[in-house]
Formats: sequence, C-alpha cells, structure tokens
Amino acid sequence: MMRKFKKISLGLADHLVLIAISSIVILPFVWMITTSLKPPKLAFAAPYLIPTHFHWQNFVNAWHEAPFSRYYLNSIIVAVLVTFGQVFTSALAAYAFDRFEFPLKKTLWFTLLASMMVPLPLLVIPSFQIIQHLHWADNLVALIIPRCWSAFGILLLRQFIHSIPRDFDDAAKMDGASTLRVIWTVILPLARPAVATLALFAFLFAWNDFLWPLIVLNSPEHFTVPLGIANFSGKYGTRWTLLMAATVSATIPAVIAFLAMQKSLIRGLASGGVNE
Amino acid sequence: MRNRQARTAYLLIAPALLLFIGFTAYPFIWSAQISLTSWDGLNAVKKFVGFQNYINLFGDAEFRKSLSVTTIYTVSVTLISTILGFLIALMLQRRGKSSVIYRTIFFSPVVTATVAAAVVWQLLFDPYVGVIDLGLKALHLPGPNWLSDTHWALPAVIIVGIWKRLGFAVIVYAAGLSSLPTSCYEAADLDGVSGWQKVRYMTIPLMRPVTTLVLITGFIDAIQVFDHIFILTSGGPMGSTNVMSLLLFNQGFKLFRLGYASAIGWTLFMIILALTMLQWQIRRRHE
Repeated sequence: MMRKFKKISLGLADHLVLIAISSIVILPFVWMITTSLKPPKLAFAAPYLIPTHFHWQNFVNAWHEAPFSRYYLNSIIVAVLVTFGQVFTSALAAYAFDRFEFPLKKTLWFTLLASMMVPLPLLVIPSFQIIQHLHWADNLVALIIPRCWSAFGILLLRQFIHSIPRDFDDAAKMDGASTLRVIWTVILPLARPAVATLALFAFLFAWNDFLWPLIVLNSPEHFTVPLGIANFSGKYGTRWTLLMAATVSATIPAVIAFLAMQKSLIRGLASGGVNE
Repeated sequence: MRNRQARTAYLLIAPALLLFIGFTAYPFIWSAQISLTSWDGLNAVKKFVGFQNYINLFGDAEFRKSLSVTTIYTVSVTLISTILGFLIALMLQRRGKSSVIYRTIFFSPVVTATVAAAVVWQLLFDPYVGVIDLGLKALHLPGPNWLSDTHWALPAVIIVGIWKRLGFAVIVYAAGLSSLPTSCYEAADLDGVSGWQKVRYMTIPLMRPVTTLVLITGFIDAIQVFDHIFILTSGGPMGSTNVMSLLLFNQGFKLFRLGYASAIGWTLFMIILALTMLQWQIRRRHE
C-alpha cells in the first residue's frame, strides 16, 4: 500500500517538474505573442498574459516599417537552394564513396570528416576575401554556393546507402541505366528517411544562419529574416509592441512549419546521435 | 574497368569536392597564412610577422578575458543542458501520449531563429518591463539590470544558451533511452532494485556513449557562440560577455586586424581539435 502511494506521488512530482520547466521554455513565445497584440500604451499594464484588446495594428505597422515579405522571400530562396544543393552534391559523393574504389579514397574521406571540426568564425575572414574577388559581396549567391555541400550530409547518406543491397543497382544497370540514373531513380527513393533528415538540417541551418549573412550583405533588399530582425531591433530598440509583432512574423510561421515536420527531424537527430 | 570506375567516382565526388576545396579547405589554409601577417585586408602587401599575433594574443588582457568568458559560457551551457536534458528524458520515458507535447515544447527553441529569440529575451531581461524582474520583484527579490550589469550579463546569455540547447539533449537522450534493453530492467525489478539504483548503476553507464556525444557536440557548438550574444550584449558590459567569436568578428570586421582575428580563429580550432581527440581517446578506451 505504502509502495503504491509512493509510486503515484513520484509520477505527480515528475509532472509538476516537467510543467514547471516547459513553462519556462515556452515563456518567451507566450510573452512575444502577448506583447505583440497589446496596444503600445498598455504594453506593460496588467493583465500580463492575455491582452484585453487585440491590437492588430502592431502587425500592420511592423510590416509597413520593414519589408518582411522581402526578407521571407530571400530566406526561402537561400534555404531552398542550399537544401537542394546539399542533397544533390551529398547524394552523388556518398554513392561514390560507398560503391566505388578509387585512388585517395581513404584520404579524401578522412579530410572531409575532419573538416567538420573547422569553426565557422575562422572561415569567415578568408571566405569574405574570396567572395569579394568573385564579386559576390552583397549578393544572395554568396549565401548559397559556398553552402551547397555538407560533410555531415555525405556521412549521413553514405551510412544509409551502405544498407541498400547492391542488387538494386545491378538490376537497374542490367536494364541499361546510367550511374546517375541509378542514383536518381533507385537509391534516392530508397534513402528517403536520410534525405529528409539532411534536407531538414540544411534548411534549418540556412534559415537561421546569421554571422555569414551579417558579413556578406549590406543592402536591406537582400536581407534574410535573421538579418532583417537584427536590423529592425537596432532601429526600433524599445518600441516593444512593434518589435514583438516583427519577431512573431519572423518566427511563428517557421516554428510551426518545423514542428509539423518534427517527427522526421527528431528521428534524424536521434539516429545521428545514437548510431554515432 | 578499374580506371573507368575511378573516373566515374571522381565525377560524382567533383561537385562536393570542388566546393569543399574552394570554400573550406582553401580558406582554412589561407587563414593560417593570414594569421602570420599583419594584413588589414586592404593593403596589397601582407607583412609577415611570424608568430607575433599569437604571442600578442596571449599577452592581451582582452583576449585572456575572452578566453575565460568563453570557457565559463561553454562549460555552463553544455553541462547544465546535458544534465537537465538527461533528467527530463528520464521523466519523459515513463509517459505515453503527454511526452509528445513536452518534447514539442522542449524542441521549439531549437527550431527558432536564434536572432529572433534573442530579441524576445532582450525584452524578458528588461529591468523595467521585463517579466523576469517583474517576477523577482513580486517575490520581493532584487531584480538585477541583467544585460548591463557586469555580474549578470554572462549568466543571462548562459540562460539563453541553455534554453536553446536543452531540446537537443532531451531528444538525443530520449532516443538513447528508448533503445535500451527492457529485459535488464525487468530482471532488476524482480530483484527489487530501487529506481534510483537502476538509474545510477544501469542507465548512466549504458548511456555513456550518448553522453559523450551530447557533451562533445555541445562543447563544439557552444564554443563558437555568436548570434544571441551579438544581439543581447555585443560582448559588453566591460567585455563580460565578449566570447571568442565576437572578439574575432570585432577584430576582423570592425578594426580590420585580419591577422590578429585569424590567430583567434586558429586558437579556437586548436581547442576544438583537442576536444575531438579527447573524444576519440575516450571512445577507444571503452571499445
């Protein structure tokens, strides 16, 4: 009897702890949404959590002050192209590393993996010089081309391709398919879980990237969402209702989209972590 | 046949390899060269100064401060988010449907653009209208001026770092826990082993590979932190949050001391290299 009681109360304690921690974790989201909906004058008057008047004007003003649709468009262009680029180059390279023997294979593989240790802040100084030589400064191309490969992507896809029996390749080759065609029509569809994981990672990274766009871009019409928000916050410092309407615009749609896809994202994260 | 195979292989690797060479390998090696010069990025002449930048670095009070700030930030964020992530994953293990909701909540900061989140945290930390100080005042506790107080700015950015990292640790641990063999636990139950003992003598040792991974990736991630500190404090006040990436950014892109900034970058790389080798050592010992 005593034992049973203890078990139940332990479960309840767990729940309370979890509720407490998750309340802290979602507090910034709640506070952001609430503030964005309050009239500027009542922004910090009680009641704190639920606004009494819904002041949608903040959103109209925020979108009027800064071209958020432009930022979204830029971010989507960059993230989509980077995602396709990474999937494409990683799939080809991963297939070659798994299925073929060639000179310097081991050296190349080790070098690619070792490159994951290089910190991005170290690379930005010479990379910016390279970008200037290529006349890509203040151009979205500078955010796309250098990011169209991924050591992590090659590693992830190679692991997965390794588990696909070679019989599948051979059958397609018997039918006269070229290597590219085999990769495209046989391997990639079979490797869908790994491709989905890589795509989500690539997209997420490109979407959140800040340091590199900060260095490369100057003109507001080229800004991505993070850069637009940083710029907006520098300009409208403490006009919090306006600023929160801007951050809601910049984050909530993306967060909802990512959470909708979270199953494969989480599965990928988890498998990457556990199989390591 | 062998030759043809090699040619096909190289053609397939070419796109990734060329991008790797042009935008990772070449800049990486070039930055080592820059770090041995006093180049300002504009002058055509790159004056070779040997290891002077590195010598100056360790004599520079600003860099030493930055090194200690980065260490405190990295260790606190990684340790706290890992321990907390493990405990949360343990609690979630026993829940059915509700764990999905919790997981989604813990995961949402991971998918939120850091810059946007930082702007919201700026409001939360505000000494007059921020919810944190309002809460502390309601409890009759003194609410510090978080972001402009030399003692509280670093804890503030550490809190945001943990908030951002926690979800990753939870997800990886949750996956690790779900892959543990249930038979051992059932046997332990029959022997009347207590819950705490199971965690201490079974779960923690079994989870060691996962823990190593969460810690090492956490260290490598945190040591390069830039985004939210740039927004919240820009390294201030008085350098109390001036982590190495921010110092590098300011030296390289505000003061145009590219040689010096590259030396900071290489120091950062050396630390990451040492940590990674440590991970290999640990893994080898366990195999």
